[in-house]
Amino acid sequence: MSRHRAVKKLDLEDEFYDEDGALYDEMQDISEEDQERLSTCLKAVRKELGPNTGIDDQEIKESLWYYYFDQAATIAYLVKTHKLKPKKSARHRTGNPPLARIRHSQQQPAKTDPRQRTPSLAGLTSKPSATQPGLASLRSSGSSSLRALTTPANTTGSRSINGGLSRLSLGSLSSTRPFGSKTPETGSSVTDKDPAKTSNVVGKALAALKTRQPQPKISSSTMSRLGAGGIGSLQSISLSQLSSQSKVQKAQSAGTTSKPVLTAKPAFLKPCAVATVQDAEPSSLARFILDDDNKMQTGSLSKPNFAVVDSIKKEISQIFVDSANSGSEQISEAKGLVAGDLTFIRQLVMNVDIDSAVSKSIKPFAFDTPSPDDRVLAAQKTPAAAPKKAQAASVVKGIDQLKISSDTSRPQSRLDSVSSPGTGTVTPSEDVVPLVKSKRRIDVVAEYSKYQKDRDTLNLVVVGHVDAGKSTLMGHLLYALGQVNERTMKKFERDSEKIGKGSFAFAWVLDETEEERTRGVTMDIATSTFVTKHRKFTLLDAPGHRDFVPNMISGASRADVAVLVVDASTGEFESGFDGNGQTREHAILIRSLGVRQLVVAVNKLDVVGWSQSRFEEITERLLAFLVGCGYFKDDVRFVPVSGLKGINLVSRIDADGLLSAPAELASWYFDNDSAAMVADARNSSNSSSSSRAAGPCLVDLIDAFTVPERPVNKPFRLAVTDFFKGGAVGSSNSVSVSGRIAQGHVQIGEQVVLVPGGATGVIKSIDVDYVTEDWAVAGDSVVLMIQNIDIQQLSVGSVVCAGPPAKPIQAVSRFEAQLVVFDPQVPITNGFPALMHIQSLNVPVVVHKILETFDQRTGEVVKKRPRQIRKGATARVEIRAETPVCLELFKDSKELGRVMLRKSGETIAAGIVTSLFTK
Amino acid sequence: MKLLRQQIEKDQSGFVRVVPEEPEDMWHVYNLIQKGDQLQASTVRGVKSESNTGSVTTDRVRLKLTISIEDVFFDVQAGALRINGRNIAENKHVGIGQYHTLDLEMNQPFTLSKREWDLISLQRIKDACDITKQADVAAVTMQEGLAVVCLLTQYMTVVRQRIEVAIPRKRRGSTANYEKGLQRFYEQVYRAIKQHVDFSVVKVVILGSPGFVRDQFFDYMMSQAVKTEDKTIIENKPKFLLVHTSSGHKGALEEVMRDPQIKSRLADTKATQEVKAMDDFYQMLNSNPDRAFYGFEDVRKAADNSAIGTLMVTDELFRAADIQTRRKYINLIEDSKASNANVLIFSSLHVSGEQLQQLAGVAAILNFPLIIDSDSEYSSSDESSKKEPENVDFDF
Repeated sequence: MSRHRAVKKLDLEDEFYDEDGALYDEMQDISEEDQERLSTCLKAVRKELGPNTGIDDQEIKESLWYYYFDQAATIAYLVKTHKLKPKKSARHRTGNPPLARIRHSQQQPAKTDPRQRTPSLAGLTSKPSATQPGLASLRSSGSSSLRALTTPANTTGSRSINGGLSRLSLGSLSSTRPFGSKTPETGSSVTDKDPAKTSNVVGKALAALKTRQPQPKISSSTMSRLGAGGIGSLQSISLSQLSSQSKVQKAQSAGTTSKPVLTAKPAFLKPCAVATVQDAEPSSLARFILDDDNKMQTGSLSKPNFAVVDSIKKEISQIFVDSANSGSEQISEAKGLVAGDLTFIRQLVMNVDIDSAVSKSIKPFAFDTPSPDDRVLAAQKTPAAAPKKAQAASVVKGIDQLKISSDTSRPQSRLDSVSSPGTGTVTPSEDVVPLVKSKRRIDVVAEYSKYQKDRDTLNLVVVGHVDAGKSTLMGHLLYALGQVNERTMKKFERDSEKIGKGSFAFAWVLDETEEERTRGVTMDIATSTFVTKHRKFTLLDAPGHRDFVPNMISGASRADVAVLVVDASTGEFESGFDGNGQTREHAILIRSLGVRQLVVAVNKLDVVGWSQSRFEEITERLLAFLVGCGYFKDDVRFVPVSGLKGINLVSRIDADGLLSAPAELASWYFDNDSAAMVADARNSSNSSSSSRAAGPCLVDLIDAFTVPERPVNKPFRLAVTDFFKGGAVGSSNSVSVSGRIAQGHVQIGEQVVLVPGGATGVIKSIDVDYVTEDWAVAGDSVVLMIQNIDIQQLSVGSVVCAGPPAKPIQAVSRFEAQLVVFDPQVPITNGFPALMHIQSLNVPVVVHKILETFDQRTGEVVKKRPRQIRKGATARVEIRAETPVCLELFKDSKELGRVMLRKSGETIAAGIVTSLFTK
Repeated sequence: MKLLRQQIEKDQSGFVRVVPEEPEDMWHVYNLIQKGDQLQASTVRGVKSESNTGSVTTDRVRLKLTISIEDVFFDVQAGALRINGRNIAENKHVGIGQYHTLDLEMNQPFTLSKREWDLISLQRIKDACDITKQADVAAVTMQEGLAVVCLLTQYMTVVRQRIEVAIPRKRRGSTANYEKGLQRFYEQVYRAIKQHVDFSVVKVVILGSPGFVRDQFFDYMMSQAVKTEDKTIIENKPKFLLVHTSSGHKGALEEVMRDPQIKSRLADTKATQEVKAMDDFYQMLNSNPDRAFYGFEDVRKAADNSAIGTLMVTDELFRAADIQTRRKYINLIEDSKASNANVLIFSSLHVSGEQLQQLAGVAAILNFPLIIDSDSEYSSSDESSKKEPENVDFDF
C-alpha cells in the first residue's frame, strides 16, 4: 500500500480523537471511590437513555465525571450533543470539559468583588418566606394563583411566582455548580458567592441556545450544558406548577404521560424549591425523561396526550367555575391559560423522543422565554438576577401569550393549532432577538439608583505647592489604610535610602516612574484608590511643580473634592502662597474646575513643633484667600498633619495604640466643628479640657465629603485622558481608553462613537478603579476597552460618546466663552494667544475677539468691544482654536464646558463655553 | 541675496537685478513682489512645434521670459516661489499675453521692475542683501508627547517637523508603557534633529521644554550619539542650549526669545527685538493703557498727534495688499518716522509677528498718553473683520 493510500485510509476522526483524548484526558486521576460511583451512575444513565442510543460507556463516564455525577445534566448534555452533532460529539466533548473546568476555577476566585450584586440573590434564597408563598399558593389554591397568573396587573402574584421560579432555577443552578468546581461542599454552599456568576453563565447559555447555534462555541458550550440543566429544571417547575394547579390525581391519569409527572409533583417540587441539591440526586428533568421513556413504551404519543390535555383542561376550568365571583373575562383568561399550559405540556410531551427529546423540548421552551416585556425589564434590577428573571419572565411571557390566545375564546381550536408541532416553535423564535438584547441590556440608571450607596465613589485630587508633601502624605495615607503591603514599603524605604532620598519613601507609592523617583518630584497624575468608613475614593495625586500644571489640570478636572496640602514650615508656606506660588494657583484652578469641598492639610507642622499659632496663622490667611476664590467657608476644613510621620492621618491623636501623639498637638487640637473655633479651643484648653476628644484626623474629614449629584441620565461622555493598546484582557483589535465619565452611563456591549473622527466601536470591558464591572456611570474613573477602534484615531482630548441615536459631542474650533480673568502679567487683548486646557487636552488658541466685558454680579455690560480685559474682569470673548476641540455648552455639561487659559506657565483665565460655532 | 544692479528713477519706478542665495531670500522676494510688477527670469517652457507633415513635437526650451505678475505662491516649508503671469515681451516661442508660471530658482538672477519702489521695498532689498544680520538657529520645543522642530532665521521661523507621539500615562503598578512611549518619542525627536538641522550653518540649537523633558532628551541624545558614534552630534554638543519654556507648542518660542541666555547668544537678531517690542507693548498696555494702541485707526490717530514712540507693523500688511492699502500703511510709517519713531516691521513668520498680526497687524507704543474719544469701543472692528480671511489659516 502506498503512503498516499495509507493517508487516505486514515480515519481522521480517530486520529484527532486520540490526540485530543491524550491531551485532555481527565479520567486518569479518578479515585476508586469515584470509579465505583461512576459505574453506578453509568448504569442509571444508560437506563434512562434507553438501549439504542449509540453512545458508548466511556463517553457517558466522561460526561458524568465532568458533571460530577449529576445524571440529569449528563443526560441532558448527551442527548443534546447527540442530537446536534451525533458524530462529532466525542471530539467536541473531549476537547471541552477541561477548558470549561479551567474557566470555572478561574471564575471562582474572582468573586471577591466588593460591589457584587449577590446580596439580592442571597436575599432570595435566605428569605424563603418571600418566595415560598407563591409556590405554596400555587400548590394549595390553584385557582387563586391561576388568577394571579392571568392578570398581570396583580403584580404581587406574578412576582411571587417569578421569585419562586428564580429561586427554583437557582436551586437547579446550585445543583449544577459543583461539577465545575469539583468540590461539592463549596458548591452546595454556593449561595453566598457564586450564584451571580453561575446564573450569568446560564443566562449566556440561554442566549446561546436561543440564537440556535447549531454547534455552540467552545467557550460557551459548557454554558449551554449548564443552561440545559437550568432549563430542564425550569421545565419541571412549570410542569409541577401545572400539576399543582390542576390537582389531577394520580389515578386519574394512569398510563399517560402526565401521570408520572403529576405524581412526581409533591416529590420533586420540594427538593427543587428548597434547593437542597448537594447530592447527585437525579433532577426532576431526569425523572421526567424517565417517565417519558416508560410512556413511550406504552404506545402512541399524541392520543393519550390529547386525552390528558383535555382532562387537565377540564379540571382547571372546573376550578375556575368553582371559584366564586370570577367574571367571564377572567374565566376566558383562565381558559387561555389552560390552553397555553396545555401547549407547554404538549410541547414537552410531543417532543420527547428517545434520542432528541430533551434537546428538542429544551429548545422550544427556551424559545418561549423571550420577553421584551418592559414590566419585567423594570423588574430586572440586578444583572446577576437578570438571567433568572429572564427565565421567570418567560413564564410571564407565556402567560401573556396565553392571554392573547384566550381572546379568541376558542380554547379548543387553539389547542388544535398548538398541537401541530410547528406553531409551538415558530412563534417564539421570532421573539429571540428582542430577548437577547433585552437580556444583555442593563438598566444602568436603575442599577445605579439601587447600588448608589455602594458605588458612591468620590474623586479626590491632592493639590498644593511643589514639595508641600502631597505624595508623601497620600502615600503614607495609603500605607496606613493598608493599600500598600509591608514588603513593598520596606523595599521603597531601602531603595530610596540608597539614592539618598530616604524621606521620599512614602512618595514612591505614588511616584512610580524612574524619573519621578530620582528627581523626587511628581510629574504626572498618579491614580489610586482607597476606602474610608463611608466612602470610596479615587485618589488623584497631582504634581505641584508649576511646569506640570497641565497635568494637574488634567487630574483636577476629574475631581469632585480636593485636599490642598500646604507646607507649614517657616518660609515654605509663604513661598507657596505668595506671588506665583502653586498653592494659590491650584486653589483657584480647582475651584474653577468645579471643586467646592476642600480639606486643607497643614503639613509638616511637626517641623515647627506643632505650633498652634502657626496653624492658626496659616488657617486665617488661607481661609480669607479661599473665601475670596469663591469657596464657602463651611466647605473648607483645616487639619494639622505630618505626612512623613503619619500623624493625624487615619486616626485621631487620642486613639489608643498608636504613635505617641505629640503632646504639643494634643494640647490644643480638639474636636471642633470648624477650624475657626480653634481659637475658642485654645481659651477653653486653658481652663483644662483634657477630657475633650481630639480633633478630627484627615481621613475623618475627607470621609465627611458629600457626594455631588451625578448626571447619570445624560448621554454618555468620556473625555479621554489616556489610551493604550490592548488592556486587561489583551486583544489585538481593541484599545483601552481611560478617563472619568463626565456624564451618562456605559455598559459592556454598548456601541460608542469617538469624536472627533466619528469612529464607532463596541465596549468590550469596563474597569472601574481597577475592578472589572459590567457597567459604569458618571463620576467613575474607568478604563474602557473598546473594540473596532484603531489607536490611530484616538488622541488625548477625544471624547467617547454614546452611540446613535444619541447625539455625539461636537468638535469645534470657534466658540464663544465667558472668561473670568485672574491676574495675568499682561492684559488680554484681541488676538491674544494662549494655551487652552480642557480636561486633559491642551491646545493653542487665540482670543480672537473680545465681545464685551460685563459685571460679574449684575451681568450688565460694562464695555462693548473693549481693547483689553483687565485683571479680575469678566468678559465674553470669541475663541479660536488651532485644531477642533470637543466642547459642550456649560449649561449642558459642566465638565466639558469648562476651559482654562494659560500663557507662559501662568493661568490667566477660566472660562465657560456659552455657544459653539459650527461652520 | 546678491544685488547685481539697481536702477530706480526719480519717479520711483525702476528695476533691481538680484540673485537669491538661500531659502530666506525667497521669503524676501515673496514680500517684494506685488501684483502688477514685471519679472524677468530664465525659465523652461514646453514649446509645441508643428512640422511640415503635421506631426506635433514638444520641446523643452530654456528661455528668458518677462511676465506681468498676476499671482504668487510661496511654500514656506520648501522655500519655493512660483509666480504666475502673462508674457509681455515678444519672444520666438511665447506670444504676448500667453500665461507662464515662473519658478524662481536659487542662484539664478532675475530682474524685478516696479512702477513704484517704496520705502518698504527698498528697505527689504537692503536687509536681504545684508549678510552680517544672519543668524541661523534651530529650536526644538518639547513637552511629553509633542515636539516642534523649527529653523529660525532673521525673517523666518519655519516649522520643519511637528512630532506627536501618544505616550501612555503612568498607571498604578506599571510604568512600562510610559517609559516605552517616552523612549519612542525621544527617538523620533533625535531623528528629526539629525534630519533637519544642518550643523554647518546652524549656530545654536535651542531645546526648550517645561519640566525635565529637555534634560532627559539631551541625555538621551548624547548617549545615543555616543552609542552610534554620531560625530556631528558629539562635535556640536556645545551648540545645544537648554531653555525653560512653559509648553511644547510653537508659541513657546516667544519665551525662548525672552530667555536672557538666548538673548545674549542671538544678540540683536530680529526675532529677539520683535519679542522685546511685543513685551514692551503688553507691559505698557497693562500699566498705562493710554500709551499702548493697536489697530490701524487708533494708531493712525496717534501718528497724527506725533505721539508714536515705537511702531510695529507686520509685513503681512504690505504683501498681497492693493496699492491703496499699501500706501495707507506706508504713509503711516513715513509719518511716524518723521516724528522720530522707531519703526519695526515684524516678519509674519515669527511667533511675535503672528501675534501682532492677530492684533490687527499694527500696534504702537506712545511717547505720551493719548485719550481717544472712541476709546470706549475697539474702533478698528471693520479692520479685523477684513483681515479675517487671512487670519483663518494662522499657524502657531
